[in-house]
Amino acid sequence: MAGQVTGAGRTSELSNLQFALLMALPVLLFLVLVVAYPLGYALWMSFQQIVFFGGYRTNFVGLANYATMLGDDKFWWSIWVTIRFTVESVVLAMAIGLALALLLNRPMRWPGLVRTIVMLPWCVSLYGTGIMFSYLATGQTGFATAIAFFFGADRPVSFVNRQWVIEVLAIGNAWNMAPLVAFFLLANLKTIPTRLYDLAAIDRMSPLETFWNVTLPPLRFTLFVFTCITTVLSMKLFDFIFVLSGGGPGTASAVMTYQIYKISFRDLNLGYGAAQSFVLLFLIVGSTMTLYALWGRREAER
Amino acid sequence: MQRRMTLWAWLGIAVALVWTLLPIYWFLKMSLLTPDEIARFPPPLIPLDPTPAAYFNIFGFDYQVTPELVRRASGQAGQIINGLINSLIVSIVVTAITMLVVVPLSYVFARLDFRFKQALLITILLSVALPPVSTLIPFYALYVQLGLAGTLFGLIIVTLTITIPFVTWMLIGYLRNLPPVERLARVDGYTRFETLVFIVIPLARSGIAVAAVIAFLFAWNEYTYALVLVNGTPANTLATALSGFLFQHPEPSHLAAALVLSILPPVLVAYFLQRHVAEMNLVDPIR
Amino acid sequence: MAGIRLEQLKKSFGTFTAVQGLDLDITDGEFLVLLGPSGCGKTTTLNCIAGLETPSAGRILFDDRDVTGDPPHSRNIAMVFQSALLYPHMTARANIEASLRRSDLTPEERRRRIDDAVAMLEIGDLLDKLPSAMSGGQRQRVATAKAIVRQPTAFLLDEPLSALDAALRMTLRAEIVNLQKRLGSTTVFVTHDQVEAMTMGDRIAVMNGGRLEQIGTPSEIYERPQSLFVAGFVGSPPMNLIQGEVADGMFVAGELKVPLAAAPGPVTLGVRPQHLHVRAEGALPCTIFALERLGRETVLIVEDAARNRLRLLVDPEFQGRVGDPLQIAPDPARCLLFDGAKGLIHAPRN
Repeated sequence: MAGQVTGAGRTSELSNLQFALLMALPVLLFLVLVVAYPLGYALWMSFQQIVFFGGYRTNFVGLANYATMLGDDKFWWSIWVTIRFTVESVVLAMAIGLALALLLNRPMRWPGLVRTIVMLPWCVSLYGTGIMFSYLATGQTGFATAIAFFFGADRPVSFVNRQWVIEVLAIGNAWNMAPLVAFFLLANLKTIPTRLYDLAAIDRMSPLETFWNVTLPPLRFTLFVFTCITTVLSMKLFDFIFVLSGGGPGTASAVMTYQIYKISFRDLNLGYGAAQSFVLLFLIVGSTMTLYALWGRREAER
Repeated sequence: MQRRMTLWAWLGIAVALVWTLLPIYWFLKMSLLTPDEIARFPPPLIPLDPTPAAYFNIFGFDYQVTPELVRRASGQAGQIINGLINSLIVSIVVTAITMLVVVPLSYVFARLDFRFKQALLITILLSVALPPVSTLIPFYALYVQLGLAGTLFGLIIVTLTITIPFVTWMLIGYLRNLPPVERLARVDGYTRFETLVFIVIPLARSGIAVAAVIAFLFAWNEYTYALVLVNGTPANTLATALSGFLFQHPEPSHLAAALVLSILPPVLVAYFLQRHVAEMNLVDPIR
Repeated sequence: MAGIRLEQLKKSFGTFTAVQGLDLDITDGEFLVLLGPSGCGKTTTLNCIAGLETPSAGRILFDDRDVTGDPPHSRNIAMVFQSALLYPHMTARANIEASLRRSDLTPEERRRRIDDAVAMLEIGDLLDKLPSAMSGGQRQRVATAKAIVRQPTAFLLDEPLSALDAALRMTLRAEIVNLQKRLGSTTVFVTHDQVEAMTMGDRIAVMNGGRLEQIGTPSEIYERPQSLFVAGFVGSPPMNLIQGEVADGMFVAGELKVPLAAAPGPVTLGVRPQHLHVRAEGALPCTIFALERLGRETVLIVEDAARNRLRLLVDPEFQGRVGDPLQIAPDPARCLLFDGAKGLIHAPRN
């Protein structure tokens, strides 16, 4: 490794490791503290029963909180809702992000203006997106209702119902995330030499073949990275769902984060909430590792 | 590549613009409606009689629509203004600290080889995966003990845990693509630290600017922690002020106007970002 | 100015050894070329001389002063990097000035040195430009000016011409040599291009696999390559190498027979293209594989019965077409013999 010195004297410059530690150590300490402390604390809570009424006290209950989960229908339902929401969000965000990137990479008039507009949703906060989509999709104030009446309907059209609320959430989430994906994919597209497209034209490739053989290969790594990122972001998403649907109607959109919030802050069952939050953490880490094993490893070896 | 815009390209751009702008338009429209129009069913597609009243109201001013009709200042105006100021403070401070910390950090990971590099990097990246809902209670408990609950300082600390890992990861990819100027700098007698300050940072300024803007966006839009840590205190942010609005069934036009207001700073930011798009080419930070 | 001596220089990266026990003596004012294929350790050696890498073992001496542990700056060397690297965000002037930032020169002396270098390299009109606004040749000149203002102990150049086009490379080759002779400065020049090495170096050190294969003047390297590797690497078109055997004072490889006085055993015969001739009869039968007409001469590439390819130089008037049969024979007085392990075992006396 670089930086090793044997025998003949040493440099008066800092070695790589010394300089790296000097630059990185304070930050790393900070991060470890603010990450490790809450994690440790949450782990401890997940083994406790925490009681507020009649004086705060904690009882060590071992794995009881984890055992309760197995028979908790709401818990299993929240896992299913989380998976459905995450898969829909990721597929939509990646597809729309790729489409936007391809579109923005074309020569066009006023490219700066179009790019600014397309980047906009990324700048809107998730709670803001939540508020927007709740007004946009509910019957009373919704866009669909306005359009339906414009064409002569006489009843409100609402999508915030048991059947479609997850899709509304996924669309809103994708609306917010797609520009992030598009931005980085576009940066990637800009590195493809124009010559390659000339070559593809000489070989008389169809637009689809050109996309497959010229455009896609350099994007694959970024696509993988952002599939991971959008997966993580979707699974840990809370504020957006909290604002848009509040887990409802009923429990139709009660994703794990919402369930944990409700258990911890409404029911004040902190131990049980902490235990569920560990399950969520493992699901998040597990799904990114699965993605890496199935897809990322191949891309990294390229 | 085709130089001429085809019909399909026009259509594609049109769809992209509608997709992007529809939700924003819907709110912009709502902020300009009169109370009668908002109450009307079905909701109008365009504001027939647009009025900027809501924008005055949320800052605490009455607005004279007609000699007879005055739209009263919002009761939430104090919170909105307070939230706006707090959000600006938090976002600017977080951005400044993040960049101060992240530039050397990502530089070291991008350009130097040393032992434990991978393990350290994975630790940092892993913290991206932590869901805020799992760390909320521990943070809250800690903050109550330290007296940090309901303070801007406390919120800044938590927000840093979100911005630092993500921005580090982003900048590593950018810095790795710089030419190998360090060797030149060593021959010229720059110390490591001088190389970073006088050579690398000026050289990487556009990438660093993009990273700073992204840090600002994260801080500006943070809500989950703010909801628990500062909601209902003098340290509330624009996000919590807005949600306070939402759950008190306010005048919809006020809510819409406040939301449009919260989008304005990021819009400037978006314009800046898109000009530097070519800079942000990602690489695998682990390799 | 100073001489540079490397003693048992060794550098490894993890388990990979880039340079294994290199001894090298570079005399004061000499232009030494480190020549070798990529990965042979030549750039690592240069980086060790510069102080950019710390050797794993061994010593580096500048005029008997041990500088092994010194940082690059205190060695007072100047370096020109691959494709003439400059600070991309600084103008030419700022780039040149950066070379002197740690010196204790008076402002007048500084200005005088910069003015001299600018005049010498004729880059006055480039001073306020950024590297991105310059051509490859202009960048090369600025990088050279940046190096000479320091009046260094030694110039170290790491493939500075590799990114340029052929015509420009030829011009700059002469310019660099001319400058070096005028300044009389010790120079180490790393390249993988043997034409550059032959045309520029006072001496050439050929490296392979982290070891020194041979060091000598260009004509020594060309006339008496000490190993098969050097024989094959230096010269354009390359030397013909034919595997065969010596028996009864005769080198034999298939139908080829050359009278050579050498110890019997398996050997490789080396003969330059200009010493291989077309004969009417009694020689090795071949067919023409390709003709490369260079104007002054023509390179004829032929194949023997065993499909070995050989190159020979013939008159530009030579008439022949691909597939034509002919017979060739080497000039016995110009043949070299190599043994795989011992290297050169027979060379013509001159």
